[in-house]
Amino acid sequence: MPNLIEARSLTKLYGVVIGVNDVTLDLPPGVRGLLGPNGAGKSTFLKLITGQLRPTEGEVRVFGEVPWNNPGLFRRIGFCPEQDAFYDFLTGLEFVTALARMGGLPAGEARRRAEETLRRVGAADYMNRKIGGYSKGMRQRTKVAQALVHDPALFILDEPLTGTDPIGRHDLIELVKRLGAEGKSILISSHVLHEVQAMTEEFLLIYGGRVLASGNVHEIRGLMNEYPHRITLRCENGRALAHVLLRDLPVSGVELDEAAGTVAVHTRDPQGFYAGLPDVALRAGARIREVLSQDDNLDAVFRYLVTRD
Amino acid sequence: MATVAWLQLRQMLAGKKVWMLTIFLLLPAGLSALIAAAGEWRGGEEEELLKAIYLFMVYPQAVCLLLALLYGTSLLNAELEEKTITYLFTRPVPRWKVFLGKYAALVPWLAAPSLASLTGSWLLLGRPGGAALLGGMALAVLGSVAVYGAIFGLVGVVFRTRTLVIGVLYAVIFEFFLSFLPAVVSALSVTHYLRSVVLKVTDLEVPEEVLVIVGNASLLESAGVLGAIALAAVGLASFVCTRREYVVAEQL
Repeated sequence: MPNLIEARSLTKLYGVVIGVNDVTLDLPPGVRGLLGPNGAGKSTFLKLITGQLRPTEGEVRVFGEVPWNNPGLFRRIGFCPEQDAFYDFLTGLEFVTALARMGGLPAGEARRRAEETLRRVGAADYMNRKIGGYSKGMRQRTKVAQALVHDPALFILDEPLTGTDPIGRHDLIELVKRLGAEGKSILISSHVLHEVQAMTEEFLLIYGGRVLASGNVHEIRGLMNEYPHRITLRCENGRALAHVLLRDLPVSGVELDEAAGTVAVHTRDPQGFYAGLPDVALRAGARIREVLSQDDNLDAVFRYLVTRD
Repeated sequence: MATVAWLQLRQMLAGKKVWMLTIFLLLPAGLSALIAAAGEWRGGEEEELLKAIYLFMVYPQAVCLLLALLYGTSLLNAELEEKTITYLFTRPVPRWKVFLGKYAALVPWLAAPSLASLTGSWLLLGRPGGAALLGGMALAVLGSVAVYGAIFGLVGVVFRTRTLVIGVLYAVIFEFFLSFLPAVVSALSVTHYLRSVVLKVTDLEVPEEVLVIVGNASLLESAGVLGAIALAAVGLASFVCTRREYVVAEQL
């Protein structure tokens, strides 16, 4: 099967700031998450594959074609940008119809497809109202509709769940799953693992402009579990708790701060730690008031993956 | 391209600048009413020439230029500021067509109300110079919005910041200062050819020594030069637009 996206030594610099750094990869068709913390280079990568930016060095190809200055390629790509930007003076239907027209559809067909797509994303009820009066969720659905209206083979979503309400999230996740089942290729960028995990099991990890790893969610989780998590417990009787924690749980180190009433724990098995914590706390007679997992974010995990390499 | 033009028209119609456009066009009409009411007008060639100079300086040289400056410099920059440029540049439409569509919307958007205001002023002033003067002024207004629109569109594409300052500098240096210098220097300005158009279409009596400064190019030459400037500016802007990366800053 030919690759969907191919990058060879792909580099993008903004002056001295690195956007994407020497990325070489072959992405086959399918649904895939592009995962990385904020500022990792996800949006730059997406801008390179949607022809909005020109590589400083190297090359990127989508469907075998160079995207920069290649408007014809956009018939096959639907891009849903991260920014909450719209022509607020248009109705949702006018907006999606206009972009369908720009996608090459004749006027009547563009309107019909726009209505159909807005219905599909659950935006039909308010499609005749001005976008300026939409809620964040309504805007997000309309933004997704404009990317889908010309029936692209590759659908790219940049941080699609940011700011959506629970129903909106659920609907969008279901939509992505349906499109994936229909055989569409989808690339979803996010900095939240569990959000993307709901849509796909295949991931690409990006950090500092570099692709760190790719694979399915189990492999990624495995990588993340190698990382020593730091968990802070705010509790009473911290000394006794620290003693039992070191003895009975998968803990590699403990820092006790009696003045602050905290015990900071280092563990490579956070799931095992959390599972055993209630019993241990009971045995130690320590009343835990708060559990803080400061490192339970991608940025920390990715930093670890970089230094580990 | 028609969709881009339609979007641009809707954008301009909904924009805050529409109030400025209204004021810019109502003010000269009001001023014309004031002049008509205040003066003791007896007719004659001198009076017609005076009124023609007034109409030219107000419309093609000032109002049209300022409106073209306001709207032209923001043709693409407004999309960048509103972050909507991504929608336009991720569609199967070449970027030069996006710019051309926007420019195609700009010209009638500025020309139609300018012509209406000009006609109003001309009527209020007692129809000086007859239909020929109105026709000449109308051509100059069309030329002004088309050429200045293209020039300021180019300024907006080439420069990302301070476009208004650069536009004002251009206007002051070329269209006001140089345009009143004699010999070839005056011919470096767009105003020179706009004035020539008015003079060639009308039968205004202008002394020979003044013609050197005001503009004495033939109608064909004026149309050719104005067309060439507009084409060159639009072409260059389209080229820059195609080659340049437009980045919404927080999306890196």
